[in-house]
Amino acid sequence: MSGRRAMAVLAAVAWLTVAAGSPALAAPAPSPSPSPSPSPSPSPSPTPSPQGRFVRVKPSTAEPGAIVGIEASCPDNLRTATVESRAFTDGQITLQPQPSLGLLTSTATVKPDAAALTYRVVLDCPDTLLGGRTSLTIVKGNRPSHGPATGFGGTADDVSGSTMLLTGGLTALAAGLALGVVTLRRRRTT
Amino acid sequence: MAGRRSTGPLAVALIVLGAAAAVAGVAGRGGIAGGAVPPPGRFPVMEPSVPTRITIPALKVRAPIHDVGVADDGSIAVPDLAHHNEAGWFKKSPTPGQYGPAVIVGHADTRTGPSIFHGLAKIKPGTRVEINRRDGSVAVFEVNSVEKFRKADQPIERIYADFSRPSLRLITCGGEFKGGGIGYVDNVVVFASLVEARAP
Repeated sequence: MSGRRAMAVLAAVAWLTVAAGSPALAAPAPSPSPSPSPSPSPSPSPTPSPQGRFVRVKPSTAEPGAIVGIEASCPDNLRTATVESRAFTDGQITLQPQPSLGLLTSTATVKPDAAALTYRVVLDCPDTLLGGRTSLTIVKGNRPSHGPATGFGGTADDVSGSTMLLTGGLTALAAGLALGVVTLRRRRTT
Repeated sequence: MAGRRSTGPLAVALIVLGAAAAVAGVAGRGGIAGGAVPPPGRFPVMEPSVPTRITIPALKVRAPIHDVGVADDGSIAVPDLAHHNEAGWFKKSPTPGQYGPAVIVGHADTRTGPSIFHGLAKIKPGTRVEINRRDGSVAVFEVNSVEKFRKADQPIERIYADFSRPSLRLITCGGEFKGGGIGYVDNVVVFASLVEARAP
């Protein structure tokens, strides 16, 4: 177990971009600028990488154990291609052609014991040295047990003052109505 | 005879005053802005980059953002009292603009007066919230809804674990103030979605 751990750590050092939130990651690779396209249509990607190669993970932020979708495009989208990432249970994922979309797609499962890091995801297109890459951020411990303590009560009187106004107002209203009824009755009887 | 004459106007006065006070009381309690704006069908996605600044023009909020972690009791830690007019980004949540809910907390008040997120409950769906990021880009979010939950009983999945799009959660305190170890009973949570990614 500890051997595996050590290996994982070594691999992490060799492979991964360290620490989620590292801004270094945002800077390099003007490549697959994540494009807006939740729609399944062949997206008019605003910044297509050279020769239309790109790889996207949807969502590109996930918790350990989650299933994520992968979309990619190679020079030839009628043949399978592969995607590799240390974040996935299967290190290598085969992408299947989706001729109707003009894309290659697959799904991948994030390792249940994946660390909270930003992992590299690398596309390998067949018969070419060129591919594409993107990143996948794993978040952990993102569900707090209960809500944060974000107040000390300095403006709580605003609320209790209003409550007093409301109760006082309703009491006066009720008293006025009762008095009105009594007055009318007296007028009628005399 | 004299008694009869005086009770009529008094009754009318009580009714009018009472109604006015009740209306003012309801208005002052300041419930949550109702309604909801659905998130957009298409949306941008940004690379990870930590937030540095929050701007909410509608609330005249402009403040720096710092990282916050987890407090001893398992809740999200909050900026200390000296920084009550600054916001805290929960560093275990995604950065604003990435897929998933970026969580930003801020105080509603101190012991003596209002703080950065005091007006959060009154924010209206459709309001824009801008987050500056360390890479120089700006993530622009649109408010979908404003909701209030008991601190001890929150829809954790909805607030913290919806990874279907880049989104934002602004969290502060609200509801009844109990003081002591409890403070405010509720949290006000603003749900917002990324609508624009401004390049550096």
